[in-house]
Amino acid sequence: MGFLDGKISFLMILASCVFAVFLLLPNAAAENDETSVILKVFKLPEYNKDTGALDYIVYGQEANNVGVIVNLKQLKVDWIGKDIKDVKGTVTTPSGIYDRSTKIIRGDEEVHFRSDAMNVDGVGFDADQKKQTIHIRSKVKVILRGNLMTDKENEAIMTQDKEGKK
Amino acid sequence: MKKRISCFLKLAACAAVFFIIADVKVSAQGLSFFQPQGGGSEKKRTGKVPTVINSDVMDIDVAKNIAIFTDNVKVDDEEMTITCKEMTIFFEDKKQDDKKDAEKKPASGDDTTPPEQSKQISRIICEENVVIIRKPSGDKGKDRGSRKHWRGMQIMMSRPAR
Repeated sequence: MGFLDGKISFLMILASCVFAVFLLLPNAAAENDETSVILKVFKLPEYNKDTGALDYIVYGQEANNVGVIVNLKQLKVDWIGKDIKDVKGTVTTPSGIYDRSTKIIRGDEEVHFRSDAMNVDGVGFDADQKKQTIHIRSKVKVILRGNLMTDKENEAIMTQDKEGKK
Repeated sequence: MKKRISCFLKLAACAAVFFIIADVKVSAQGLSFFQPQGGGSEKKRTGKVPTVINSDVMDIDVAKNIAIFTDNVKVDDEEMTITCKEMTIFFEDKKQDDKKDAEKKPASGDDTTPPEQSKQISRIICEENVVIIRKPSGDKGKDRGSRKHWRGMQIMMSRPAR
């Protein structure tokens, strides 16, 4: 009897294992299934996992999500500084591909970067949201908001302008 | 004879007065009646002309406040033109006092006024095949022999053109 009991218990364990595998399989299949999800006119804020602070916000007209890859149209990315009012830079482009695992957005079309230091236009880019870096591949044109003058020169020009207005 | 001399003297006096007035008035507008007008040599620096940089490739690191331009770099500033193979611009945050001053300024609605900027250039490094062409400035006499202090005074030509 003891032998039989042991055999039954072994069979029960085996059956439960098989049942568990059957239960888990559909979930695993679902995870691998790359179903496409389309978002229209979206805003996607991303927070720092460690600090909980807002890192960047991705805006767009359309997002087609396939696994970790998101195809974006008319996208805009705001890189946030200390608080939400402190936007360090803004990247805009007609289309791009966002890899959610690496947090890198790539694009082959024209790209525009705006910050309080400069206006940048170019064609083709790779923007790393974690590091807040952007690589522009070609046809770069930058307009510096300031110029190469020193503060003294700037002050001198300002005072000249003021005197001229008077 | 006396009449002729007095007439000539009057004419000369009138001409002298005319030239003096003309010079004063035109000089007040930043031009001199007696100096050649037109041409870039008499251009005065206004500080309103933005600096434009063109290049093939660019990398911006917002966190580190660095912009790196690579291949066919051309800088067009009001005072000079720089061409080189690679250029790195370092930015720094403006002083708090400057920021406050900028905040106090009312919005003029003038498109030529640059927007409020919290960053300024601290250093520029140009590398390989560096050519700096200085544009002629308005006050030649004053500039001659003096050392210009651009913000890019720290311009370093690590590998100048051979």
